Amino acid sequence: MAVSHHQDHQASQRSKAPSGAGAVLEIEGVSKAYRSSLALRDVTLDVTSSVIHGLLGKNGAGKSTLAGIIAGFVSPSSGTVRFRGKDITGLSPSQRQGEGIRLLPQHSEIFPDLSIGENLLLPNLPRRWGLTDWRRMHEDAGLTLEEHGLPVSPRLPARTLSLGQSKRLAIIKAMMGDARLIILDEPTAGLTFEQRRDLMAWIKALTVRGTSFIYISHHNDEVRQLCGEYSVLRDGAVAARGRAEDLSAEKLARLVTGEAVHEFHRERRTPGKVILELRGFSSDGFSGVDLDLCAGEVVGLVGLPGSGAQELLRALGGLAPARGGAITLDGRNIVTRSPRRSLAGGLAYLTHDRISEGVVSMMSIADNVHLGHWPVRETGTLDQQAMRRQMDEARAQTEIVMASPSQEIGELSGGNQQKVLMARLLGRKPRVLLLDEPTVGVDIAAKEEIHRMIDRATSSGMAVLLRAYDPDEMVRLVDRAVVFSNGAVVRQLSGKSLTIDALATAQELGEKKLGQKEPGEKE
Amino acid sequence: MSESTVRTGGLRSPTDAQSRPASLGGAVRDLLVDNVVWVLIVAVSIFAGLLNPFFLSEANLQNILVQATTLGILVLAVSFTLLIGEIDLSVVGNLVFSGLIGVLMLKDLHVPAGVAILATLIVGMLIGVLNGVFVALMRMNSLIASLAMGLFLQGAVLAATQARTVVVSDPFYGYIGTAAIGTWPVMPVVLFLTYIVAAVVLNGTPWGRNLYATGGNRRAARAAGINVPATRMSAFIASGLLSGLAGYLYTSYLGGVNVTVGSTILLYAVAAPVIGGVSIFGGRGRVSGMLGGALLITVIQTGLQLINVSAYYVQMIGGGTILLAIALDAIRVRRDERG
Repeated sequence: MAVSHHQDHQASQRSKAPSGAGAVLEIEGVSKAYRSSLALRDVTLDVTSSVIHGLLGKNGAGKSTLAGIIAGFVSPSSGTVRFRGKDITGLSPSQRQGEGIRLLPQHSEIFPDLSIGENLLLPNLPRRWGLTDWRRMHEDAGLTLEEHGLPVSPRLPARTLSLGQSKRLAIIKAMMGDARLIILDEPTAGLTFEQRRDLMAWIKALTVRGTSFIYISHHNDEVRQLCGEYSVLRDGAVAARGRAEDLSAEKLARLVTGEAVHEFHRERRTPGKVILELRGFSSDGFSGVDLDLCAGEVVGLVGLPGSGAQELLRALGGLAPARGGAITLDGRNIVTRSPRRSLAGGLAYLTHDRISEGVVSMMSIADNVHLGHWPVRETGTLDQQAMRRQMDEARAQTEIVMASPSQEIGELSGGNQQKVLMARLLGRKPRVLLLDEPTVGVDIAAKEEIHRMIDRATSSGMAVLLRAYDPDEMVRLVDRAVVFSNGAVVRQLSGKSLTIDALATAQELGEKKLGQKEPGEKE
Repeated sequence: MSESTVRTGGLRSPTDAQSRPASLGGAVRDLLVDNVVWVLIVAVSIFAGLLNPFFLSEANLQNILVQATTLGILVLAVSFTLLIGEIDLSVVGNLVFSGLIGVLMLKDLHVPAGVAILATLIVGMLIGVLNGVFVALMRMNSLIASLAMGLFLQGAVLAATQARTVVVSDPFYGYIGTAAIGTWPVMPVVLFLTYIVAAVVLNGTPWGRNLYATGGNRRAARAAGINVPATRMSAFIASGLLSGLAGYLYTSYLGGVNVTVGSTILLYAVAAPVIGGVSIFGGRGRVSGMLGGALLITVIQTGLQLINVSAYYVQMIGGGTILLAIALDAIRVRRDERG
């Protein structure tokens, strides 16, 4: 590698001594240039042994690139990476695995139809006469699971695990074979409040064994609770580093975004007249739901996937078939046979799965804003002027960071993609917005912007049904909340009873009921 | 043009320059890699011209364009289905079948030539409707369904003609295939007009954008309110209509129809869009690339004939060139993925 020539030279020139014997990983002046941009510039940071090192930053700040460089999947344009005192800059990903570095991507793969034990031990299953030794495999796997605080039967198929348990399984798998540094990329994504808390406590316990972690997260509170030290990346450079105990939420948010972030609290208003009425509405996953929604109101739907909350949003959005009951919007009956029909009726659904159901990543930003709703001239061709005008309107509403509207949307950060999707929905001028985790995988600044977009929509008379897994976010946005469990509404929360604790408990309620389907879950 | 617009065939705006690489060398390299087909067309032409100067003559240019017309229209037909992530392998079967219908109507029913031409187009389109029903509504696999459809149609022509050539001599029906304005043949005009219409339709109409969106991400297209089954169906109808047009042009040019219409033309019709940068996974492809792919294949074929390469080698060299072009395209795609 070309870089290796400079390494010794640079190392000898280091003015700063390595931060004690405790540094397990030393990154020294690492830059990474892609074809048209600089993803990392001169990043220098140390990870102390046996601590959890929080790595923060907005979408596109360079966290994933840095993780890739540490694990060896991305080669730096310049700079060195030292692991336990040894220069590993030129080593391949598998050689680094041998050194004890593991990268656990955000969407770690679990094979749902293989057993938990197989998932854990693959690809090194114990063999006997060339064949898999099932008995020994299950024994080994069972011991490992027990040892790491996940006492489930290794014989069960992996799909019986809850999302939180799957994450633990993936982490345990990463820890096997003498792991010394594990990079966790947003391990709590998609988990409920309770599951997050449990997973964090569990990870903390693992550091006692001497394993070090790099913990990539969007959640400032997680970093403050869990991490010993932190680094903040901003525009590819280290913007701040230090001890996590010295941090306040506000300071951390400011470090990440580079400016003061004002947490947006939506003012609860007196709702207008009822616009959406559901009577005995049923679909796959829920039945007999009665719900009234008023103009300008935000109603939170609380519950895990499977509880009926998400299923209700999808059925209203035309993505799941209605199985009975009536939907009236402004006094008219609405058919939700397809997203097209729902949108025509005034119901607009924002998916929780931006990548596979939201954006068409290889099309332009402008195309994505107008997807399915093209302004057309009398000649039948696209009205480019109207498209530009609507694009300008959307950008006046919210800041979308882009080179130009003809840039491919796949090149934007998650937060900016989500704003484009919001702009698309608002362009349809719907009566009701159906928002399914509108801020999933989105950085703090974009999150606040999306909250403001929601608020502006309601002040113009739209109503919103919102599902969000973060109780804190929910409390800040909704006027009241409806709790789902096993496909039915079990509780309503409003006024004084609408608190973070109440929402967290309510979510758990749904989880306990669901838990019956989960063998191996111990209280 | 930025690379992103180049790849989506999408909207263009003057601000695109921002996403270009900084160095001039890099820009030139990108321009070459993004336009592999046209670079290859020039390279092959110069090479063939050096060995046989006649290759670069006006007469041969006319010849190439005439030869490219039928293939070019078929390439467009296949491309419409590739854009939605499917494929239509019945285009050649459609061509001979719809062409035969037109020829037989003239010959045996003595209808006016205009009616026969219209019938050719309608038959082609109806075959497209059938393909659309199979793939978009019944969700059959397009590769197999259209392959079977193509076999059936070619078989039907074989049965109807008993492998004999059916000849037709109607001055109006044969006009486009044989007429010339001055010394320039009319056929290529149809080719370019069709490509202009296709470019306007694909880049400038909601239908065209819906095709790209459906091919790029079917679930997202549906969630955005696009009628996905109708869009998928329409791609096959367009493909069928274009095949019918190719059927008319071909029979008009040849003055008849024969079941043995180039056995390799189907492969070229599938390879050409890919050479021109159309993704076989859908959602990506420029109209100019489709045309370039068709022209490159024709240029190679004609060039090989003119430099007296034995016919026994033509197919091999043709296959090798396609491999080369697609390898270059793969390099381009890998570069884009690297960012």
